[in-house]
Amino acid sequence: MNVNILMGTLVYGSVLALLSLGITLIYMTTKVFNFAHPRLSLFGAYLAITAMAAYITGKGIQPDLTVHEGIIPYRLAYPASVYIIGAVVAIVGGIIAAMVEYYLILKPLLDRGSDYLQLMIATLAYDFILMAVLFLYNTHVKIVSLLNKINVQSTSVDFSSYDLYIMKGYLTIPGDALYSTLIVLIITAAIYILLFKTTLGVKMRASIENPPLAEVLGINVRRIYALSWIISGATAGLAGFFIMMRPSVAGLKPISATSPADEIVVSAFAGSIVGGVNSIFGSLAGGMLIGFIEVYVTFFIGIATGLGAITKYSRVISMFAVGLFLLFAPQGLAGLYKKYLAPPPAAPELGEEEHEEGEG
Amino acid sequence: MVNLAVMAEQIISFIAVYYILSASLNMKAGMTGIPDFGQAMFFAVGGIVVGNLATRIAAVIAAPELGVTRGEAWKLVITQNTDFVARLNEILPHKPGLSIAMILFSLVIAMILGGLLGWLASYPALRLRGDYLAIMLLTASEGLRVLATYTVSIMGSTPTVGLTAPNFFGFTGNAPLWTSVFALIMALLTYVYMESFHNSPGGRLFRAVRDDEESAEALGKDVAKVRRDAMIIGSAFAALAGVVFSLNPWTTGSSIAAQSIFDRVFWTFWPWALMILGGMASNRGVGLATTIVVALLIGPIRLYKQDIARLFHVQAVGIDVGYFANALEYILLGVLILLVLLIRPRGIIPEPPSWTLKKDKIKEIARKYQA
Amino acid sequence: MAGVVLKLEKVNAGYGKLQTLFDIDLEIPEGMITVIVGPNGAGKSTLLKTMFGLTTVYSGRVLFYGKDITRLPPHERAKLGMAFIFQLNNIFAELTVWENLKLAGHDLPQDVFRERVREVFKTFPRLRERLHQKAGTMSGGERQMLAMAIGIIRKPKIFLIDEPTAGLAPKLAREVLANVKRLNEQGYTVVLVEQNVKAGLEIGHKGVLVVNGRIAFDGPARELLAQKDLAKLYMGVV
Repeated sequence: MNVNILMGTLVYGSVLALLSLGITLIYMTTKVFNFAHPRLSLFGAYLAITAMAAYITGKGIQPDLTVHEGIIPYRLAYPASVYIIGAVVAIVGGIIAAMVEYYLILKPLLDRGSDYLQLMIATLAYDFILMAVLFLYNTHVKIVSLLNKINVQSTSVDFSSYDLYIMKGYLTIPGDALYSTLIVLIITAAIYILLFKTTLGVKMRASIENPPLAEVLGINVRRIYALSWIISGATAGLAGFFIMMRPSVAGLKPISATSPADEIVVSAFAGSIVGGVNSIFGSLAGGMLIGFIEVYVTFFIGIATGLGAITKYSRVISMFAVGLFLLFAPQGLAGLYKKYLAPPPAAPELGEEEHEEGEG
Repeated sequence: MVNLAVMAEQIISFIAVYYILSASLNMKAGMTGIPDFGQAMFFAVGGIVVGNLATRIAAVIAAPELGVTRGEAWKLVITQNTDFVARLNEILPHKPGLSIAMILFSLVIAMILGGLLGWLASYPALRLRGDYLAIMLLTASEGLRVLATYTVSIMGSTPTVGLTAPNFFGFTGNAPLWTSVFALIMALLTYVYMESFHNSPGGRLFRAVRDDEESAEALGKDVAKVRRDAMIIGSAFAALAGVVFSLNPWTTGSSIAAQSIFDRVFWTFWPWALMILGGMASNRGVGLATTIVVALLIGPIRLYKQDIARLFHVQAVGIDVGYFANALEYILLGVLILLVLLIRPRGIIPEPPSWTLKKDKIKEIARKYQA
Repeated sequence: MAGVVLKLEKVNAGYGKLQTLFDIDLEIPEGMITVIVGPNGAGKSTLLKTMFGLTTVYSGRVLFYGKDITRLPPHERAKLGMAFIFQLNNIFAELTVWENLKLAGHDLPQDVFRERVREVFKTFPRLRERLHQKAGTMSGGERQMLAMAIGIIRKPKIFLIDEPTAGLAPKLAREVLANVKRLNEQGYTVVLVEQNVKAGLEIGHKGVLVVNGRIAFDGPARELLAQKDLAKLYMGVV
């Protein structure tokens, strides 16, 4: 039982980490809280589900849910191509939805010098429009039934089509937990390498810290912003892919035009704020942390206090976290780290300076 | 054929609710500069007072006729909400005194509680600014939504259905008509209040604080008090909108559900949209925008959406026109907001200066200085 | 006669809808220090920013070595050879001196970059000592030095410097202006907006007085400095 919860937490935490990353990235560059962000995930998920279902029915692929004996390194129910198609389509979908938001709506407003209020409302409006589009899509192409076609459960063993089957002892690790966590780790590493080891990364950090100066040095800051939107959209889409695979965790309802985007908004923003709204690695950590707190901690509190129903209030806990951090530590955990734990910067040598000036 | 009377009642009801809510937001955000993205939670207070508190008290008072003790009545409203409130609704039309008392009770208590919640919410509003404050209030609203949805004693045992709406206007014999009239009166009273406040020293003070806090402080104005007052008064009006909404069968339907009264799209985003469309801090603008947009949406667009949808020829791509029409409403609204932001961000009627002296007096004074 | 690096023809400009410059005709000569002075809010910073493309130009032309750059965005002008040094936030405080310099030379081939860095150290030897220090922790004067060094790396054809001595103690201000002079001695054209009229005009070759968004004086710096009515010109009372 515990393991199941832990697995669910890993998936949920990974999803939140990706979403928080996307939100933070946009905040650092475009300086706006993108309310439409969770909906971008949903858009990616919709496209992924459609693509996967089409591929499966088109090629007549059946999931292999039989339980094998003997030593087999690992096996997924579907051939890898199915999952890869799903993930890629989700990523592309997220990017498309993000690009539309940036180029058609936010960039024009930014160029016009809009203030943060107008930008926020614009994201809300886009969220609204996207929801209507998804709603429309859902009435025409029944997403839930497509999803059920893909996510087949085997009746003999508690083993679904996403699970990863390892070794002879019928040990199954939920595929989505493994892959989602792995992918978040890979993305974290990739972003680190991008930002600190590449020229493009230095340009990004410069554009974030001091856009006018970066422009002066010949860096096309607008293009850097576009890149951050692409990354944001891609991670959103990927998060959508993972949400789709395990919608029953942390009280997320199955996929529709409104959920789980509406449900997850607070948690995603909580991850970003708690981690540090101006810190990329902070947001990743924050997202994971919020995921853990919401699922694992409320589960344990529920058991310990006997109030089994407390898991429903997990989102209220996130709300408190947001409130607390905004009021007392607005730069999140990353900000606290910088303030209290990071080594202090070297102090300027004032004495030397005075000495030299006396001679001049 | 379309029943014009019915349509008129619907339009007026919705305009009234949205106007009061948007005017409330206008006071907080437009005039005082507090980015309240948690407006929905104040609105919900009104709904909860009507659907829960007022209904329970009515049941307790009418307990003898319902054949239960007073204590049981208090609980039955929740535990057997559908059946029990249905019975209550049957006898309410015969009790005009009780009904009117409950209506007044709802109004007063909701405004008090709304103001109280606004007061609580003002604490973060004092410490935070800008987008941080906006997000804080938004998450507070969403958090309260979850809390209320799953707390049976507040919103009943089925989150999707919520509480059955009490029939407090049943005694009039024509509830839809008279709640619409009531809604209209409330909206007009709100309008008058907002207009006079805008031109009063209080109104100017609010806007001064919005424009330049430091200068206001330097002039000895208690900025914290101003923001607190704005939150209290503004939120009280938001709760009023919630009451008007919940008493009206046209707007609330037959039940008051958490997911509807806490809905951030209808009760936070739309008021923001209407306020921006109308012109922030412009009471008249907000009124005009609300009237036009709501009337359009509920009137012609809803009626003719099928025809409008057909214009897009989506059948060719295999999309069902009916569904498209429904989604179209939403898409149009979203696009409308974006267009306003892009083209005319100051709104239809930008903020008017406040006329402290009559125009003739001002002209007279100006003439003196030209000599 | 020196060549003309920048030419403004009948330029009307401002921020968004607010016009702050009216009918500006100005030539910036090559190899010299042009100093722009004027009362606060007169438009001297706007003038400089207009040269770099940071304002809205309603009418008129901005020419760079004869080429019309009026519609060119700032980062393109940077690539053409214009360096703009802001008054504040003119370095990347979170990065080290070395990272700042590297960023400045982000699109340069390695050998060219090394050559430029050598030039930086020749002009500002003190920076060599601060190489791995976080830029934000240096003194005000050193930060200005780094800001100019960033410019040098890009070997621009012209430096636009916006009030470099603002908020600095007199001793430090003198040092900064001395650095500007050193810069010019390396052969760079400089346009300098300066609060401190006397000190600014002392190191300048050409002086420009901006009052109420218009050019009130355009000639040798010495002449402007010697104006008996300078104070009056400043106040806009002619």
